[in-house]
Amino acid sequence: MTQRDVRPTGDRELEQYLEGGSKLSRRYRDASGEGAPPDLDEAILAQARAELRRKPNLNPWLASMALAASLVLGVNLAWNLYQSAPQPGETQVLSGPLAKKKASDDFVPEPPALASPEPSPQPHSKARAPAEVPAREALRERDAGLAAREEEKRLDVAQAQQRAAMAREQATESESQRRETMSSRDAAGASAYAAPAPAIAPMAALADAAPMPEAQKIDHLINHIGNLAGATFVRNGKDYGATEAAKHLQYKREKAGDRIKTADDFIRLCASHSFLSGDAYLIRFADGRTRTAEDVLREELSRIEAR
Amino acid sequence: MQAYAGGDMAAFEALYRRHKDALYRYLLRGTSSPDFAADLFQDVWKNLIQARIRYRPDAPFGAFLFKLAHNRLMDHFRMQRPTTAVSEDLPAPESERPDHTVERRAQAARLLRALALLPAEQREVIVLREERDLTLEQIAEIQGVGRETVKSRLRYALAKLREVLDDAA
Repeated sequence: MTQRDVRPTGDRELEQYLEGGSKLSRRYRDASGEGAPPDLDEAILAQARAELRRKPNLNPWLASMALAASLVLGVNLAWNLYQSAPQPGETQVLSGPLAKKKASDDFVPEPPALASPEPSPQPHSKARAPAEVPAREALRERDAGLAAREEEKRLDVAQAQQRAAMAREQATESESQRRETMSSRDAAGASAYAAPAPAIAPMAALADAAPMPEAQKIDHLINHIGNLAGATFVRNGKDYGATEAAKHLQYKREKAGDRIKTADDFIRLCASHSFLSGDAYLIRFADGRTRTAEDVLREELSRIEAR
Repeated sequence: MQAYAGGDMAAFEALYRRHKDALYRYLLRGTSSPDFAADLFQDVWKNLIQARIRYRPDAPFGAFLFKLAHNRLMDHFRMQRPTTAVSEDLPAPESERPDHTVERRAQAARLLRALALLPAEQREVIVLREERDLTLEQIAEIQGVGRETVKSRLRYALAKLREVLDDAA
């Protein structure tokens, strides 16, 4: 059956087919008794429900904005520190308060007034101080200025640390508020990510919101099975202990290799049913209840993803 | 879909019930394997669930869903080694199926076998048309080709299937 052997249908027949009710369509309907297996229905609907409860992944756009904001703040802070640090050869005299530091930042040295009979007094002495100032006094002033500058730097650093701590607290608060917001609304809630609070959030707060890596989720799920005290794992009609079940799942995971990229892949392809028989894996709990392994794992996955 | 994106689980369930069997058959016809079809079926819905916020009603939901399915099917084909063998999961010949005594069922089975032998892109046109009554334009959008290409594929597919149907008549 190749294209060379067959003449394509003409316009009239094509139109008749597109109008519907053709013999082909009737035969196709007769042949279309298949439907999605019922066990898939439950799995997909459960996943849809879980997804509504789950917080969405961190918006990459927001992460970029937060990173940019952190960089701007960091550069600004570094620039301020650099500005306030003594420059080589500089012996600017400052005494203490930050208000005076501002004044020194605004100070523009005037060119030497060579022709002036009375040199104007300089509010901030420089190394090139008037010749009448004794050298020892100038040195003392310089030392005092350096000490004052050191004191200011310590104050700046302490204040910067205090500001950072406050920013972290604000970020933590805003993050918890955001999580509450996102749990009550989903798509519209995405805009909550655009709230201004994270603009000053340090990257540590963003790292807290990062989802658990998929491999780690799979590890967790296997451990979860292995730690089900008193539970029996039913595979192809035979009972196995929790530890043995965990080993079996780990074996299947390794055997599947690259096919397993997500925890969902793992549940679907390794932990739900027997490849040989197609029978669902069951877990019989100590209290006598029996559930499918898939349900148990999906529930646990939803729980850790909601954390 | 937008209602689901807004948190309405019942809306999703209604959508799912309406489209699930057609989607499953589309994947079954595409892969000729219930196992693959089931895997891809789950993947498509999973992708849809995760893409719920990005969904925009520019096209009917059915066309959107089958576009996702088409993409997933193409990924599947890329991952599989090309094979010309007909899957063992296809319905067996009538002579081997004594339970299929009704002529209508036999003709349906023949149609499915003929459908399975069509080139994938021709088969897909027929299945999309039959399952969801999509227009040539919508199928062109899904397949990423022009309308005339779809029309040509449909002409060839119909001609090949007509031979089977005429033989069976």
